[in-house]
Amino acid sequence: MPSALIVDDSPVMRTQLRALLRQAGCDAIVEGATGDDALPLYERHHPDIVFLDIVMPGKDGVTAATELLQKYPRAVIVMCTSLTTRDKVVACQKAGVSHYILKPFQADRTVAVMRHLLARNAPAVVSASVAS
Amino acid sequence: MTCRCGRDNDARRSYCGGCGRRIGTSCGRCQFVNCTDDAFCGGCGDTLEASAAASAAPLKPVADKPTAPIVKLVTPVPAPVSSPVLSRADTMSAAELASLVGKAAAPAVVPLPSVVSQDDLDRLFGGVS
Repeated sequence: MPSALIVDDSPVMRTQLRALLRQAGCDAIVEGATGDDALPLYERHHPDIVFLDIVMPGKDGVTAATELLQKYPRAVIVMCTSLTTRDKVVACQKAGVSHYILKPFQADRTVAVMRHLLARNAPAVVSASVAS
Repeated sequence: MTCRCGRDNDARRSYCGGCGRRIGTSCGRCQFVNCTDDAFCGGCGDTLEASAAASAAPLKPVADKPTAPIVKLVTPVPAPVSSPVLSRADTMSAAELASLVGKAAAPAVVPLPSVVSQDDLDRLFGGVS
């Protein structure tokens, strides 16, 4: 079964993402609330996909994503934020994140992104979970 | 080479710088400098042909020690590097090539407005229809 890590300081957003991830076929979900949680939680659980907020206590999401990708270049990271400035998007793209989803979430689109990325990076587990 | 006129000429000259005579070969016996058309040496009377023959002895090497080998100053050309065969490389997409080397493909260049929408982001990152 695919696994996910959600790092967001808003419990409401974590709950929304958790529900959407379940729709996408992902049940093994770990949560963090600050940018500093991202790397240790990733190293402990090695999730198939990571959702990172940008504005958080501690490290911001771009810094956390950059550090994580420098250490684990194959990590699949999706930024989840309400920030819509080009500079922020370009910074995330340069860091190597896989996608960038704007809040408030559009459920169908967000689930489509989740399914696409999970199928690309963990095709065996996704097909198995979808079949079941 | 010293001409008969007494002028000491550079060895490279064919004609004397002092009198204009053609500078010939020096006599093999007395080293007198004769003109090229002289049959007998003006210094010792010897025939210049005999003198020339005598002086045609095998040459000795200038130095007994072997000289250092000549080193050619040629810019080294790098040896061709053997590379893995990628016969299909010219027909592969960036993503396929990236998968071969285990790195993510370079993101496509998508012009972005200063304020981006989810449509812009989906186009930029791709994968969502």
